[in-house]
Amino acid sequence: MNAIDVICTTGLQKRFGQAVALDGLDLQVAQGEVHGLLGPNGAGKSTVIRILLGLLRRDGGTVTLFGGDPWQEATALHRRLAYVPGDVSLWPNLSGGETIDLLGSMRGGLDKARRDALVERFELDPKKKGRAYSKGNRQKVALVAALASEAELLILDEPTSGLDPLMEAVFGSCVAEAKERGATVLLSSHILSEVEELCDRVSIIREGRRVDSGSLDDLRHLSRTTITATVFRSPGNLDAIGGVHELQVDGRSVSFQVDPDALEKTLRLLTDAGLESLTSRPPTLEELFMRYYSGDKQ
Amino acid sequence: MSGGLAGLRELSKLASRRDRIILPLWAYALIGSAASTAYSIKGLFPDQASRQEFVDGIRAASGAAALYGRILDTSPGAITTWRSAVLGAVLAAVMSILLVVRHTRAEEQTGRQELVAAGVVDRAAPLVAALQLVISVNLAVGVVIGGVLPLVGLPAAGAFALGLSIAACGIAFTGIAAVCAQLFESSRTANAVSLTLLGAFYLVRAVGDMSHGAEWLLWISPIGWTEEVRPYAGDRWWVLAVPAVAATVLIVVALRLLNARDFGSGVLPARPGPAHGGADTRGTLGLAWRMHRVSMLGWTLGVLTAALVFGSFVRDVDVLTDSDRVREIMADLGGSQDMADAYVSSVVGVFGIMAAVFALTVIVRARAEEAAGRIELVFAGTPSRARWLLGHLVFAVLGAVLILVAAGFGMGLSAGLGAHDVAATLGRVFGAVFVQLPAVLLIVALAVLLFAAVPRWTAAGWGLLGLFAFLTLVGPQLKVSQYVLDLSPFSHVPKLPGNAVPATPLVVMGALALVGVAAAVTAFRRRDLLA
Repeated sequence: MNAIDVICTTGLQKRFGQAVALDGLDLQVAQGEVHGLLGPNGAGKSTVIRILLGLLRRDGGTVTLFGGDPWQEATALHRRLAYVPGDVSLWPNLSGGETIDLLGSMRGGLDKARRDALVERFELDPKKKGRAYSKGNRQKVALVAALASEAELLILDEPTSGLDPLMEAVFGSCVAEAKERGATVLLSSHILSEVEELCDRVSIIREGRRVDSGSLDDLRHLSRTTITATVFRSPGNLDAIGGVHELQVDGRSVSFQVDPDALEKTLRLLTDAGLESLTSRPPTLEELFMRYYSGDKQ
Repeated sequence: MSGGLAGLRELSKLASRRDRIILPLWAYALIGSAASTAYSIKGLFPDQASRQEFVDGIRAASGAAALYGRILDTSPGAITTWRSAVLGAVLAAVMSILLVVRHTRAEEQTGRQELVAAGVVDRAAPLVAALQLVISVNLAVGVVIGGVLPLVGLPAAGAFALGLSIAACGIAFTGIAAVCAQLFESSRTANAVSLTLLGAFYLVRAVGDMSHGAEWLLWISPIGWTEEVRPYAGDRWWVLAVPAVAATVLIVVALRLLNARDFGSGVLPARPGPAHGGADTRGTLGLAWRMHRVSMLGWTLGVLTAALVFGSFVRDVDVLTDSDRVREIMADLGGSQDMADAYVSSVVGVFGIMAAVFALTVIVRARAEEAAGRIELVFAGTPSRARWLLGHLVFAVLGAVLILVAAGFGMGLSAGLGAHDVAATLGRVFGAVFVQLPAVLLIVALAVLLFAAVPRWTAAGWGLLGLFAFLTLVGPQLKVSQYVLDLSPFSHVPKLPGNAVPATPLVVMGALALVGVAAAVTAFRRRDLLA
């Protein structure tokens, strides 16, 4: 697609026996962007990531990573990326510090000063053995190992699912710093506030396909706005207008959701009815996702 | 609560359901080996004269007592007992240790038990459920052996004594494993310590059986207790009380420890590790080194100890016999007409199998890396698949070599000291040890190929090794057809010292091993990695 796409898949397919994990997935991540990968459990997020890492072989479609084939050129490509799995499993007899250095050595070294700073920021005790860490701390080990490298691409699979809010904030600033130095980030997440705060663009996938992709603003433009108004007179039959949903009239107060193309018409009706107050709220991410996740396409 | 432990019944059901495949396999191995031994001994020695000759020979070759214990009588039952009591006791102990740890410490370590403990479940219920299961299996095996041997024509009383004496050893080690599972935070450590104790108790009884005057050593080893029951040679039922009391004491201790410790932690605290990786913890090779170094060292030291002990018996074995029948038996066991050589050869064969066992544990751990998802962390970095796989393979082979060196050095040294000729003896024994290597490598290659091509079947490597070991150790005496015996790589190992060294089988096995590894690397490069 784009010459500077770091990740590009078209029609990507993957089956496990009878189960279809990816069913023609398209995904583009441009260089330098923080890209959110969203989808319900079992949508295929981790499968895409594993294909990108060369752990799984695609059954169909195309996939490029830095313009190369992630299966054929895995070793060379991995010099340029770092990965944090969602469910981190560590070597039980290695300490956290040893694990970080080990993973660094398998990526061509890491910046020691940066590593120590990250250990400090994430408040990680590097002397504990792998088996003794909690889920959140195992994730910190993997995060420190990934962030301490100079990787051009960070692939993060639900990296904050075990972190406390304080650590989530640290993680957020680390991602922002990575972006600042020009790194590309693919972030799979369920935490919508995190996506809203960090991501430039998002792709929403469901049942192995992409259902939508774009900046959050783009996605919002396609979605309903919630309107609450107080009017002097009855605004007439609002629900006769196509595109008005969940209309509730309670005396003089009116609330409903409206599709973008019907917005102008409804506002005119409201103005004619004598507006006393009006609030309009763009769709929250939650609402966006609830719609996509439940499969209720416009 | 009506006096019971809350949740015990549900946990017992869960445990037996989880083990619905492995338990019957263990039971079959234990019962089958006793029954087939009894059957074949009836066939091989149909009359008193032939049995008398056999027993005289075994007694003359007292080295056999080190491996299997003393032979107490000339009845078919006594010979069956000699051949299966110690072996069965060891198998029952290994089964009990693995099962107890699997259902207690391993469950706690993975966090699954946390789900259970949060329910209406007594703190002790998981441990008691595991103990109930393992003790019942041991008793069932004992009773079935008692029931089956009479079908082959052996008297029932001795059959039950044999079955229950084997079960008693399993139950004693159930108690040992239960205590170890409380002491250590990691299931690997609990298993390793329990199995090391098993090895130590085996050696203690070997020394007892070989000695003149230190027979009391049998009484401080649970495997010795099995022998002291003396099935088909007095049936001393009261001896069974010893393991029963020992197991009870151990279980009480385990329960006390359980109630005194935190969930998830061991009585012995885990030590912190270094804050940074050392020079030896770099790359795939460094990772493999850190994963395997402790077990490699432990195995090597264990084998060295065992080899020193078994080597010291060589002097006692060197007895001349006039019986052709005995020579034939020893030739089956060790391939040589010279008693001492035959003894060395048969013991070295066992060390060869142990080297293969270690190498297989390495491959199985490599598979566990994949199953646990840790492999993803590695392959998200720059290591290639071949590099990672070969990193583990290096330690499988290195460990096997170290174990063989330890076996050769230990046996050669202590046998040489006995013969006042260390240099010559060391050389002879080392030769015998090193011809094992191609067979071990071939088995490693088969296991790696299984893992690389069909990862879910990696554990089938144990089945293959078990079959090969059985064919080699027991097959010749059961008069198994040569075609079947030839399936085992160990059957193609020249029986040294005392025989010629045909190069062909060694070269062929070595070449096959290389082909197997190459095929494994190719297959591993091509397949999906599965979490």
